Amino acid sequence: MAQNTQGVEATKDPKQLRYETASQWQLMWWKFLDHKLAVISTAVVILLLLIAAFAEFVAPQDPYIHRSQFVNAPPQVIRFWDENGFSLRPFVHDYERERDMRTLRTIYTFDTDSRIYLRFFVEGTEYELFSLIPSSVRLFGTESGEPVFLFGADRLGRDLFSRVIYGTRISMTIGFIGVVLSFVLGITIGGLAGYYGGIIDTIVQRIIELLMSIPTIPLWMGLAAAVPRDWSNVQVYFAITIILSLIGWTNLARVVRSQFLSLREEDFVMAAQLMGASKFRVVFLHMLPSFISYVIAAVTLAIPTMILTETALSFLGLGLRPPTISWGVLLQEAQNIRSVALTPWLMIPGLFVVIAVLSLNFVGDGLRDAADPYTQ
Amino acid sequence: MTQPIRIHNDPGVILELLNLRTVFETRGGTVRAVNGISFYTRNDTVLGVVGESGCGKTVMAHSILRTVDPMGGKVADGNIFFRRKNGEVVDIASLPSEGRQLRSLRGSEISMIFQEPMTAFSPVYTIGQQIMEVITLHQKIPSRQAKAKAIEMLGRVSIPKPEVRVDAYPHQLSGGMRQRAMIAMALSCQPKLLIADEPTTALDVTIQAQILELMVALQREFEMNIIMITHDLGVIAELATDVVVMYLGSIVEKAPVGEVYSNPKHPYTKALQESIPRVEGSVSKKLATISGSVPSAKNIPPGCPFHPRCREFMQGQCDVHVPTLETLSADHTVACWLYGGGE
Amino acid sequence: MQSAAAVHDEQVLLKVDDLKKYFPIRRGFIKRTIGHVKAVDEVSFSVRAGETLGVVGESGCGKTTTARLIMQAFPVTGGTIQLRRNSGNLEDITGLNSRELYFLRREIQMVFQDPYASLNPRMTVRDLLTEPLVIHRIGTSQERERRAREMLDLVGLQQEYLNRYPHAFSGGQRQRLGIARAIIMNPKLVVCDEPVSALDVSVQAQILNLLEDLQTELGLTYIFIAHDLSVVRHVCDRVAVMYVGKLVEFAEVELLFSKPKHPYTEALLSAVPVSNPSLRKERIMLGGEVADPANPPSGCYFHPRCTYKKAICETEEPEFTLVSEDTTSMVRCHRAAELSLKGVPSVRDMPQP
Repeated sequence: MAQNTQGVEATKDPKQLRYETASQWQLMWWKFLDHKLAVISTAVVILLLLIAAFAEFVAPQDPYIHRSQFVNAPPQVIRFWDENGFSLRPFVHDYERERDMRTLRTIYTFDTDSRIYLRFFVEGTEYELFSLIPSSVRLFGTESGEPVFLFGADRLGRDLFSRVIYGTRISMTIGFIGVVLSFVLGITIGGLAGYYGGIIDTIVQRIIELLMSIPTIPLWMGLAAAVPRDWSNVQVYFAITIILSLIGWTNLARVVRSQFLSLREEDFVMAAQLMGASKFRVVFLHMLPSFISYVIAAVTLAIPTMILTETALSFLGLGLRPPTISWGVLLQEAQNIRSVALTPWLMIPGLFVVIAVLSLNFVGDGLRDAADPYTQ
Repeated sequence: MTQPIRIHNDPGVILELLNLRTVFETRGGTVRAVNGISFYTRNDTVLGVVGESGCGKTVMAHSILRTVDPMGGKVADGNIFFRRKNGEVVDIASLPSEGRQLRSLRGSEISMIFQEPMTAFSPVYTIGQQIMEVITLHQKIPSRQAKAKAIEMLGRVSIPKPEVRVDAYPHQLSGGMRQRAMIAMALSCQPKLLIADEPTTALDVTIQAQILELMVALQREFEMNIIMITHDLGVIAELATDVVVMYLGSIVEKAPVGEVYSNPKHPYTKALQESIPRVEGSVSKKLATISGSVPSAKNIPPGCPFHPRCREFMQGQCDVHVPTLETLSADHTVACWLYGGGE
Repeated sequence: MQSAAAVHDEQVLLKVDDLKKYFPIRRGFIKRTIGHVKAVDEVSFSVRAGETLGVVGESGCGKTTTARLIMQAFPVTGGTIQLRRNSGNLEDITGLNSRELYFLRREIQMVFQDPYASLNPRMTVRDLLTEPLVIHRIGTSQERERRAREMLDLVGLQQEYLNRYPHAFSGGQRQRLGIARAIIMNPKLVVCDEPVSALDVSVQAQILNLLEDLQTELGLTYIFIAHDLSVVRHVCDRVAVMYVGKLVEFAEVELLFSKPKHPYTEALLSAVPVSNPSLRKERIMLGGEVADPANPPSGCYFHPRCTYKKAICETEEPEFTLVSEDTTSMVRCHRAAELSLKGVPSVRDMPQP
């Protein structure tokens, strides 16, 4: 049918062809790359996740070892040069101790003539990576085997840097696992409400509204306080995760439900139905791929809330408890004005909370902008 | 390319565009939405601007009001001369964006109505309040008087029971009534120029007929000019006195309405005429087609923008050199190499 | 109620009798039904094999609901829709169970109005075109692909497009894909819901011609839903005019346009802008607006806007009957026999452009 030919040749230009054959995920990826802040934040989040995964390797010390001679020691600064000249190898100054005879506190100063050299991949105390692979190689340490305190030490002389690294593991995973649970709950319940509508939808909507109308902080506090004191650390960890996701799913369910409702009206969904497609096919081949990107963005934006809530609960002593290490547990140490004034480095875990929350928010923003690559 | 500036010599000309270019900067590159257009419109005319999606007709309208600035567009080049009510000629293209001078023009000397009046009205105020706002913005009169004026305007656009409807919210009116209310608001300050952007596209055909008739009547009554932007050649034929045909940001032909229909010159105008099905019956069953589709304004073809789809394309000429508007007769101009356009 | 036209029974592919669709109006907390919108009411017509039946009317007249009822997108409230199935018999397709519906889908397909919304943007052209075949388990994947390539040829697109996604295409090209998808299973009947109204003027003609070529080549039957009367005149063989859920006139296209029998048809024709300035004409201007189907007027629904109304029109609803014994046109008007209404000028009366 010559009269119907388009007169427009199918493009041979490789760049145009790449665009024309690009799938949803490729288009989203290109759009995401345009969001520079989100890309940088993604790198930060990946770094934090790597730290969480390899905490034993990254931390120079065992986070539970007490060293009475380093109680409340201030952070040591990594240097390449001092009064005695320049060094290619990074080093820190050793501590000098004096005792304040009035308060009986140890006052730390640095011996600028001493040099403790740092090295990558040193032998340290033994550990088991992922509780499987025994190893004693640490990412970095001192040549001499002296402990190094990059973020200082706490009131028991434990290395804060190592503790923050271990805290990253708990705090990040609690956010991610909590979100996975909310995701499962949200997508199932929201999907049911959105797909079937009618009475199921009404009931789900009312439950969500009820849950959302309860003030969250008292609810969390109440639930967290109900966790038995004699539970093991692992049990408490999962209990807190479940508590967090119990509230978190409502928002996701709403996102899923509204996506379902709007997609049900879409022509291409109607077209599939009128082709004779089964419900299963319509939902899993047409609807799910269309809104999964929105859900992923919503999920990413839910993680920081989870992290913040865990931190808040643990800070108040209602969440995770020592000896478990999380950012919130660490911040508990910085609760009083005395520690803020005398040992301000104890607030460094808070900095990590801020970085993690900001980065995840930026990543979520980027994902949300990229979620619909077909506009414009 | 120097063109005579008519508006300074001929008091009958109220709007003249000279080589207007409006661009949008996007991630994918510069979109040359309006790509150097020039035309003028004389007193008491209805100028029809016809073209397909992406031809730049809406952007051109927003350029005249300078409402492209908040849309992310920019008037990059050219002049928009407009004769104010007091006879003074201003170049709208050179006025500061969102300045006082520009605001005093909008609504009072140049008004615009849109395809979907629902988006032009605020849903939280009654239509009366919104018409009164336009009136009091440009005239210092007490609100009682403004309300009386609003009711009068609603009556003049044939809204039944205007004294009741003045207190209605936009969503309480039907599509046709909303469009009437929109026109009442646009005309409340007796503008000299009304720009109508597809005002009947969203309406049913019987309501469209009502609105078109109303606009013709109001044009005579208010002695104003209308620029009617549409994709529908039928609408143009019904009420325009002169027609501008646009394609991909350029004007391809301008002529009095009778000429455009009985004696079209540009291959695009001709092809468009032959390709539309007619209610008055067609000679042959088969419609003539224009091959291909309108290219994106992001990459306008070189030379004549229509050349890839043109039936009378001349290799080495049309795809290389841009034709300029050539005057064929007093009012008929065309941009095509068939008629020796350009130098 | 009498069948729409006295056509020979074997020619009829689809026969709609007394079709009704009422949507409940719900209010309040417990969503109590307080009334009904009669979106489609007492609609009867028939479609002959190989013809194009136009259904026209203004927004809210029920033309799209009628299309969706024929597609069995939702159940009817009343009436029957009989389709000549593969067995050769007319069978009622209302109230089928899901398995029977699945088989019905092979025989009726639909072309949608919006080519941007009706193609899943996340599927390649290959997946889009072969989806009906996959759903109905027809052929191997090689055979499906071969069929998809054939379809691309048939609708005037290049086979290279198979791997691309819809975002690579313009509106007209997408509508070609939508048509290819609709005809890939060789349906008997294709319901076209405003297939060109979302397209650019210069592209409309391409699609209209394509639909016509396919009809000749494949012997398709179309139901063509439209609001644009010029398009209807061009492509349709017979036309049904709807007003507030009811059929008001049903006639051969030339007859309907040259000698309309219902005052609404006359006004509708008169309202269409004629693209020829030398034909600017005195209009029959309809006052008022389309009646609300949830609260229609008494008697003839059209009487509040009708210039020919008499006392009986306000009280009594006219029947949908044959205009006269010697025509096949049907009309719902008390005064159909006595009125002589004005159509649009035919080609011969006008100067050529």
